[in-house]
Amino acid sequence: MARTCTLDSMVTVELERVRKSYGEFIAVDSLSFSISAGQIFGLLGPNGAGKTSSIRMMIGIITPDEGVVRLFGEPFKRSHLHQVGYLPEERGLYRKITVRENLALLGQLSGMTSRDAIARAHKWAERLDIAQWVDKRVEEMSKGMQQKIQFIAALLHEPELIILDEPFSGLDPINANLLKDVILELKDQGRTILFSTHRMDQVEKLCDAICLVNHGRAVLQGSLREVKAGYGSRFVQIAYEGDGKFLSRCGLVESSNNYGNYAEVKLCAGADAQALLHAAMRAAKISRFEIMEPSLEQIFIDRVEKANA
Amino acid sequence: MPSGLRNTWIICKHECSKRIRTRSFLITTFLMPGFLAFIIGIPAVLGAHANHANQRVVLGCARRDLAEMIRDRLRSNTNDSYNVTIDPDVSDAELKRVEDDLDTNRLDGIIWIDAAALEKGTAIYERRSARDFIWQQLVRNSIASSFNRMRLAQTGLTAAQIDDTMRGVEVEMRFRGGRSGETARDAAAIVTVLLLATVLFITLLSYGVMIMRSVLEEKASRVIEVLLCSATPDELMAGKILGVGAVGLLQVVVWGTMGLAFAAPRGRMPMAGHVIPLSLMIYFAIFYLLGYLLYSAMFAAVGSAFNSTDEAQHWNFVLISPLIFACTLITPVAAAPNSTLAVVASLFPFSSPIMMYMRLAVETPPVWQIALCFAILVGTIYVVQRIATQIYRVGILMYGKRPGVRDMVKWLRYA
Repeated sequence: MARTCTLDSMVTVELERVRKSYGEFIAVDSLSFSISAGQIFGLLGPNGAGKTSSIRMMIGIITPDEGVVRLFGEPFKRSHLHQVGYLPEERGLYRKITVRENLALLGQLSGMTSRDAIARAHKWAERLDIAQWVDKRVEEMSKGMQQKIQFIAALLHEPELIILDEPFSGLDPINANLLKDVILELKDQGRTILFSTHRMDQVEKLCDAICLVNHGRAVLQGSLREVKAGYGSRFVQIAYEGDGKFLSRCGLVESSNNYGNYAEVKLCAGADAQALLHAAMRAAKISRFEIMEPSLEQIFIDRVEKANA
Repeated sequence: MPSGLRNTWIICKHECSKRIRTRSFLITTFLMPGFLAFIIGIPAVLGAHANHANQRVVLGCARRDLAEMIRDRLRSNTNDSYNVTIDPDVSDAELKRVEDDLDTNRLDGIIWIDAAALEKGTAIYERRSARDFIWQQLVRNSIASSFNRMRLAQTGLTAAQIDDTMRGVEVEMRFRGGRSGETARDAAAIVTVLLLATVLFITLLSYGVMIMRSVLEEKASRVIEVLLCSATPDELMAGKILGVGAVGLLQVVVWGTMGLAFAAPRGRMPMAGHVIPLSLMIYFAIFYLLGYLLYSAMFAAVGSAFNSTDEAQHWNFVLISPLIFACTLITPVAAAPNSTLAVVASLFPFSSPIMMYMRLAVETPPVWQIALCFAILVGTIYVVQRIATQIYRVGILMYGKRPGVRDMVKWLRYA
């Protein structure tokens, strides 16, 4: 059910040369990016890159030392928060009270009445197959279920901007799939979704655009298509049986991610993939050899390693 | 309602309803006073029960007139519940015989005054147990006054002269407090005030620590991050402090009501309504609220700065030290409410909620001291709340390394 959305051409989130430091430590350094309305946007980066600090600045938990954060086209103000849903990486609910009480409280803080919050909580609980747990205390529930409750808490007030920090962590494949379907429904409704994650496979499947941060700075950003296209086609996947040392001996490989029987390889600039295939065939039995776009994970590792070198 | 106030109100309601339904609140509010009353009441009830039974007492005495006097006094002092048999035989063999009767439950007590005891002015009162401790004093008084009467009679005084000599003296305590309608206060009122000051101490301490634990729990369970997406740290802290404070006040009101309900029909008990003036009740509420606002903010800041109760232990002790100091001064200040120590302790903001309350309860301090106490206290609350809020604002998002004083000072400069 697609909503009529007037925000299509609008920018939902914009960070402009934002900086945040804690004493000597610079968490975010002159970071700029923007997220268009209705997009699924991936904020990527290794641990400590500044993702959480960036998100906290977007929702006013901390204020930037320099730069501007804009939400829905205006400089940040607290009234924007009723339009923002946030699932933090570190899940947190009151353990000693029931799911219903937790959601009623969080719903009220998001501007709803207690009754509306409970009514919507029931609908969401049914959608996520946890309706029978609504009157249980949080401490009685498994981690995965708590995760779903937290997800509901972020969506209860039907926010325009949904910020999900590692939304799939701790979920089994069935529940991860359920959550993915809900996220796609939200996108269809025109809502803007910001993902912060290390899980590149999910970003690759879901995101329209990304920003990769390292040491508080953006090292790569744009639409997923542009990012991959800009990275060239120097990537090869090889499935083999035998000695994998040919990868380091052939002189054609700039870097590789070798799993023993399978390797993801980045060729040196100007190297010929056919030459690598010949070298591989001499050393091992090759069952698959594919020249392909780089995976986001390869780009991630490559960029972060380069930045840290 | 403005959004900030609305959030504070929501958090306040949440804290209240969450705590009021806990088992520990119900136990401490309703069962604890009942348990204390039970512990204190049981011996009294047992003692009273023992007195109401027909007490069979043998009074062995070498002098008939003294024995009769003791018997009459015992009867009148115990509303005839002592059935006293006078035994003129005070030989060792007779003592042995009546002791056997006592051991075999045929007797409840023996009062023994042989010739030697009569000479020295001593007496023995034997019971199977020391259970009736209240009434032992009555027996002692009955024997002592009878001895005195006997001695006075020996000097040649008539019965009327002896009555006149032995007449008690009524001492009426007065003080010039200056409050209308209050001219005297009895010891019971002072006991009540000491009790209230102690309740003030216990409540400030326990609810302060409760705030700290609650903040630590929210930080450890990471629920704080979710709350911060909707409410500011200031709103969260204010809501929590008001919510927990209201629960504390409710508990004190319940205790007070139970105390009055329990004590009022008995009249003699110190809690009887008329001995605590309304003004002292109001002062209690004011000092509880001011003391609570001061301490709760500090406990909240400490809770936010650390990651666990163990880490916060050291600071916990630092915070409760002035309260413990104030508690140790309760009796000296009650005894000398105008001493320099009392004045200083009642102006020092970290002890003034208890100390000034004590002084107000036992005398009327100069108005300027009361005004200065409030001014210093309110000013300190303002400063402490601001510092505590800033520490809280930064601390709740800081995980990992245990912060030192220097770190916290640094946090004060963060935006």
